[in-house]
Amino acid sequence: MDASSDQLDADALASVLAVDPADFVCLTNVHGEPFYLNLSGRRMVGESEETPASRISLREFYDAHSWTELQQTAVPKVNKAGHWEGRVRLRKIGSEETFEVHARMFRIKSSKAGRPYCLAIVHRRMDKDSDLRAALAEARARKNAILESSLDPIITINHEGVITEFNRAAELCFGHSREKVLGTTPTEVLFPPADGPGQKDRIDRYLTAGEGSQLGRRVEVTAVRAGGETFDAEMAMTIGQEQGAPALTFFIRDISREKKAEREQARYAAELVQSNRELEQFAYVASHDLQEPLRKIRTFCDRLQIKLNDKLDEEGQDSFRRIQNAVERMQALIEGLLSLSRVTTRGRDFVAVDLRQVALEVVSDLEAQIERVGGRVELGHLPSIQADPLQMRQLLQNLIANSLKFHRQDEPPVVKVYGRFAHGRDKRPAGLTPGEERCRIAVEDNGIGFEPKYQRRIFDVFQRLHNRDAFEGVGIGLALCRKIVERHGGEISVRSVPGRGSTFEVVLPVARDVKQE
Amino acid sequence: MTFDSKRRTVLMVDDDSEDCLLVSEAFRKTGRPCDVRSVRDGEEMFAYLRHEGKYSNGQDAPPPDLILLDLNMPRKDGRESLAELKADSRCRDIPVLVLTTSTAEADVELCYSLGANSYAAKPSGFRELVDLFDVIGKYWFELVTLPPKAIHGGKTG
Repeated sequence: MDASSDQLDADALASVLAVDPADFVCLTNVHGEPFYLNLSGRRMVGESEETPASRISLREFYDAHSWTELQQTAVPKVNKAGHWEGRVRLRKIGSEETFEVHARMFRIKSSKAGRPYCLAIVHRRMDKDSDLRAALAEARARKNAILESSLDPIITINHEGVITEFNRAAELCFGHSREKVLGTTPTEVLFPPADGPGQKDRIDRYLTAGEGSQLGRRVEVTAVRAGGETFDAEMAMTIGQEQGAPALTFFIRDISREKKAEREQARYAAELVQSNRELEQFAYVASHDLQEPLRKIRTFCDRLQIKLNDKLDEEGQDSFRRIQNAVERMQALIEGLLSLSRVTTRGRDFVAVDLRQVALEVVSDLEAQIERVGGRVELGHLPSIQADPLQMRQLLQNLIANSLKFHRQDEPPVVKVYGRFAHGRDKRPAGLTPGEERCRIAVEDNGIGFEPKYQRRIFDVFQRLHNRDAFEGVGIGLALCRKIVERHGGEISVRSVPGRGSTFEVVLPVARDVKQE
Repeated sequence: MTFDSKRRTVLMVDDDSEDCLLVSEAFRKTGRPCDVRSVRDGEEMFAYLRHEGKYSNGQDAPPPDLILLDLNMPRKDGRESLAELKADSRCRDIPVLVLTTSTAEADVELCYSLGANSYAAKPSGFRELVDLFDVIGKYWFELVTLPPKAIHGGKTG
């Protein structure tokens, strides 16, 4: 195919020729086979004026990378959209020297029906200025894309403190339009009037000295929206250059929602503390006051029984016994509640407590019970910790007594008490504060055990797993243990196998910074 | 052991009328001739001791040999009354037994520091109450020697 056989339509040519005479202009058929290359084009790539267009191989004019790009990107784009624009590197024929040119490629429709279109390729040399301009335009486009797609407000002020940049997110956040804000100062529109002077001083300092305490750090500020509503914001600042002068860019994040959640959480926590305190107070007062009428019932009941003693038949005696049992039980329940509330209301300051010493004393106190059931308590290593000494005694006493109590009929109870620091035997590992270090204390028995499904419930107040005929008690001992452990910032748990035994484990902080809650 | 059959007067200061009844009853059970008088609070106690107000004729207010003092009462409570009682030279020799439901250490400490002669928690059960007053009566009315003023009351006029 050559130029004569495929004449270019005049109209199409006119659109192609809206080009600089110095541009490279090449026309090809739909297959990319050239049928025209102008003089400027020939000079640009060093192609002889004599070579017929049909003998030209376009491939020789481009560096490998550019050629690939033309094939893979430009041609499909032109086929689809009719137009492509970019940059490629041309090569002087027979040399390795390449140079960058601006490239345009477009489809020219033939005005004659039935004729296929042809492609026009136009290249323009790029001088240094246009290079820079293009790079600048690109950078600006990139910057704008970033600014506009940022979810956080970004605001720039120039060296005079005037706002020169106010992105879309800033518009949404502050409620000001970009047009209105540009040219004003941040202290006029972004911060509450009261904070204005302080912020202005700070900003001025950054702009003049180029440094400041908040630079490069996140700070929390109070900002104000167009409607006058203030909100909590987190702000980071960075200093840069704009037209040869320092410019300050603020990255702002609206944290009002987080702050609100934070405040609400703090309020809930305070309410919880308050309601817990009230509950404890209530338990104490209620149980204290409940004791009073109970004492009366018991005393008058006694008196009546003494008076009627000889006249009572067996049924009457039995009724009195039942009343008295119920009263005693109620008294035990009330005392349980009182002791539970006393864990916090009568708690003492934490001091150094040698748990082994405490355990020795407890075992000595429990001697009668141990002897009665023919059991044995074995004490292993136990650490010294910061704790309420009386409560540690109560804790170990309740756990050991509990293990002795629920022993098997055919097996004398053997209770093992041992402990260790959770992170090693005697030394605190590096990096842990005393408050973070924990110790584990185990109380292990060979008693009747219980089903695993009860392992949480047994620490609840007044929970019992056996009827009163089998084992006496109101179910306060382990609840008291849990309360004591919780007051010490620890945890209590139990593992058990029915018929084999139980192991109670207490994890306690070795030390505590706070004396009491 | 000689049994001192002299009739004694016990002044019970307690707003709880059932307790007053039970204590009176318990004293009777001990077999000691004893006149248990009761007033409802500290104000009334001082009126009784000083023969003021409804006790101004002094007839119904024989000087007590022992005061049983409750702590939690309306108007003038036991702590306040005890302090005032022990600061008054005309009454301070009358033995005071603090008889209360409170077992708080702070109360026990305070009462002894104010000059209480004994402190006992109200027992639960009638037998226990009789037992307590048997011991109390034996101790204060038979075993100890008190200054004559106390025995014949602090007539304060």
